[in-house]
Amino acid sequence: MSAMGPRSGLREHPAGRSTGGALRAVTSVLTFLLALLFLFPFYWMLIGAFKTRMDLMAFVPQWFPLHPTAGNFRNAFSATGLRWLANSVLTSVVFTLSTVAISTMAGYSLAKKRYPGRQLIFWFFILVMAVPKNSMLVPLFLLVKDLKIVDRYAGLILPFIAWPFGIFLMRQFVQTLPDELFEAAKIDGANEVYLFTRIVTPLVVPGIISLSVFAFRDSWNDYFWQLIVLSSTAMKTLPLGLAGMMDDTNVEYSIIMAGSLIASLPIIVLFLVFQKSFTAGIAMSAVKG
Amino acid sequence: MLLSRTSRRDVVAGYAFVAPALLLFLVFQIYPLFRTAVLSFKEFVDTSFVPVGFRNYLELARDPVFLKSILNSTLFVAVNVPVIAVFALVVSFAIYRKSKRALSFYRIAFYLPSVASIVTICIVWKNLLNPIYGLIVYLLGLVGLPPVSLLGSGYAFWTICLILFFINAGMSIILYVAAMQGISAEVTEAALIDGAKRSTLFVRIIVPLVQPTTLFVVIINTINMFQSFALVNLLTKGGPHYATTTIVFQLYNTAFWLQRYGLASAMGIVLGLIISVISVFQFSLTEGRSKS
Repeated sequence: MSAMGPRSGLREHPAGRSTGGALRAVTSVLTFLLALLFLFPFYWMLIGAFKTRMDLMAFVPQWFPLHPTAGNFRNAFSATGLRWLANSVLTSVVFTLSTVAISTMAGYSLAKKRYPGRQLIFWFFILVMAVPKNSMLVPLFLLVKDLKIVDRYAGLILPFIAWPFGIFLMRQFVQTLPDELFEAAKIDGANEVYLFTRIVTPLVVPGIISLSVFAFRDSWNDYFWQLIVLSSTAMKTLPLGLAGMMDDTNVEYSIIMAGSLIASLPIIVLFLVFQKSFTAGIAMSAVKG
Repeated sequence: MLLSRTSRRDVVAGYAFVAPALLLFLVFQIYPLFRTAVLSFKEFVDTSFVPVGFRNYLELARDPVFLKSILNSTLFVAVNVPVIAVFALVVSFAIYRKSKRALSFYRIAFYLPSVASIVTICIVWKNLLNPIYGLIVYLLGLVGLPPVSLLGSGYAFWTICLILFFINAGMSIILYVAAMQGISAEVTEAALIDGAKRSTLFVRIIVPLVQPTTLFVVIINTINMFQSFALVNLLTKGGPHYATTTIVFQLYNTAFWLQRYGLASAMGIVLGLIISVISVFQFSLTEGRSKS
């Protein structure tokens, strides 16, 4: 993905420069406009969050808020809204930490340990990855009900901590570590806990970052499973709370826009900061096929 | 596998480190998977499950709404999968040689809709599509078109298609850009020195070389489109007149509104089978290519 290689790759052939150049300029402009079109809904969310109720419903839409107000945020994040935000933060953080811990442990075991059944366990994880989780929603819900964790944080988090993608990703990362490292540490008398926490974990930090970003995104953005498991207003997460407000005609839409801006921000910031990990993770899932 | 290097310590540690993942996996994924199959031959009556044989499957085969949902899901795939593939190919070709900074901008712009939560995306689109004061109706009015409810009859299916496209195109672009950057510069340069036009370069060299990515993009988009739920539940509730209902939306309603857990499990099996067939098809295609 170096900037040098691809750029030096295509120099215009002298003969084709005039027509090629014009065509190229047109494509460039078109692509840029398309990109702006894809960004537009986010701009609309941003300005909508600052519009007054009347301005948001104006018959001639305002491309910029004429009477900007921060009141929508105050209304969106009253006691209930803040509770939803807190629920979202809590479930996403706990989910991310647990799935990273469990995946790194499993990845270490599957990459570096020799024991009967290891390959079988690995393929088991990979095969089930192909089964859509939507097809087994009913028994999963009944199980969560039997465990009495409906409408609880545990019901949201527990079922998906063992995430095949995470296990696969971490196994790939641990596999790149040289075996000599472990032999040397063992000779020095290091025990397994030390080996895992002090040697493996620090060396697979890039993998941990990638996995964290994906895990946080999936959990923060989840809507379907939350819709199934959560029922009380106090337990709702931000997406679920906002979705409920959408159907309530008494709620001013500008308040919902403010809420959705806050719901999008963490994930957008995360994406901007860790763009590389994101892209690498997506490409990695493609290689695996 | 059991060579002399296998030590007792390795075996114990190996099992210990994989145990938490394996345990949770068995409880929350393998057990529900098998139970779906079992429940699809039962139905929840009053407080317990009673066996009903193949009745759930027969009911699905005759249920016009469920068949409509399969048709809709298939149409979402038939429309959007080729459109996304072609769109992503063309856009990626236009941007993959740009400077690091420009490329970063394009990646962000096209992928942002996939990164943001589906609920917030639906909130904005619902506002944009509002039949009275929405921006889109206003813009249509400027060119002389009458105000219509774009989530109403006649339009809802295509509007959902458009939003599905908006949400899903970005991932394919990221994959194609990565694939095109992997093509050796000598290959493309040689073609241009030979006097090939850019369009020829694209059709004759780039498109064939990124074919593995195309295959992946097609499969992953097919699987995603087949499982559309949130968009439909938030914007149309499957309507009007089931015009936008999908398999997963029907499954959700059947299970969690009608409490017909058995019938919903049978729907789950049908969905799982469709997705598995697609995955196997992908696998055999990949295998076939690597052998030839």
